Amino acid sequence: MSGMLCNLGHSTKDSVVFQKVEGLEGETITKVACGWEHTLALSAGGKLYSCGSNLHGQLGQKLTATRIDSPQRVDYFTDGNRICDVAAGMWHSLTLMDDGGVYSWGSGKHSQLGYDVPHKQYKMFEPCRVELPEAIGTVVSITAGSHHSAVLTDIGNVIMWGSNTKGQLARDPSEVSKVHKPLVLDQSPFNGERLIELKSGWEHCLALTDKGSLFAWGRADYGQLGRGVVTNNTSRCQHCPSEVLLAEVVIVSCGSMHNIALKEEEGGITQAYTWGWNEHGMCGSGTEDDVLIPTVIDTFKHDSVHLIGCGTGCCFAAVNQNLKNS
Amino acid sequence: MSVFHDEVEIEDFEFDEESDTYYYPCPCGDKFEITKEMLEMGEEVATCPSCSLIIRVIYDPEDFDTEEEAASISKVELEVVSK
Repeated sequence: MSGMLCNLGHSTKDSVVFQKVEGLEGETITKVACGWEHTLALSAGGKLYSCGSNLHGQLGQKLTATRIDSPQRVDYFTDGNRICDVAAGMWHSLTLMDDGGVYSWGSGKHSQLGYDVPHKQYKMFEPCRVELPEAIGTVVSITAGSHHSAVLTDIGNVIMWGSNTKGQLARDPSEVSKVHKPLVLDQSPFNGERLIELKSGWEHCLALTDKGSLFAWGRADYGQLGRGVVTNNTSRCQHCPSEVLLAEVVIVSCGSMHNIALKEEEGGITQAYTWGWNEHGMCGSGTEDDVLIPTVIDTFKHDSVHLIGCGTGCCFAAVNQNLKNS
Repeated sequence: MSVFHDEVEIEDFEFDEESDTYYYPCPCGDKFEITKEMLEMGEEVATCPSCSLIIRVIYDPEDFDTEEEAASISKVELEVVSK
């Protein structure tokens, strides 16, 4: 792992080279989620480890120190149901259990935990189960924005809670700035298509349907909703979900304010498209201008892309080179 | 000055005592920063050293007003003396 601060699990200093994380010997790590300054790691056996900053309780461990440098097991989940997914917001954490239960902990200042936090600074140091509405289906995936949380169920329902200052919960922010209890998203904007994947940037969300259509809502001032326009109204958002200008989408990934998606092209190959904030060139377009419409990354034009990922100021793509020409 | 990327309350910033500076996450991966001294001078713009984004810091100037703090201390001293 390389990166900054103590969230790496091996040092309190920045590291510019990859180093093995100590403390996870004998474990097969299947999923890692990173918050602003903390890291969650899930093992094949369903054990959860955390390290980094615990300033907001985001490690899920009652510690005297405000941070730990090596991954430690989150004891809360020692017994009972197995964890099958993890997600991290800026200062909060989420887990999905194999029975569809969702737990959250960390900062609840913006209602991102989905329940009342008695602590005067809204910090929750131990996981607590989020009470979800009934008859929504079983939760199959979880995602976290900077200060909001969202889950998707097997029947395509989206349930969200937390900050709505940029319409990231699909509500008008001039009417509601945060949502305290989990709220079910109205399905009517999705043209009867079932949602099968849900991802979140810092202040926007993307939802993929079973027909390969992609919908977006939330912050819209850098083109992050992929509609060909930027929104410069007072709230700088579009809270009503509407279609991203890209069809036949198979996978999506959100950065803080940019996105990457794979689109299935003719002949079964997949191409990577990016859009949104591009000041650091993270859209791979060759310029630093914001990308308002999903645009194919020219570099991979003759290849098939099979895996994608996004960070705060970067994008990743794994490519089968020259497959298209062979 | 360009448009503020966001408006953030000072209590959401993390204070670093060594550098006397308040920090808040920037979407580029770096941090917006503003020193305590700048807040005392009435500055409200936190900048990111790695990108063009800027945010407005929401705070009560009275919490950072050193002159007023000094004035209130001397007032207390005067009261003590006069007793």
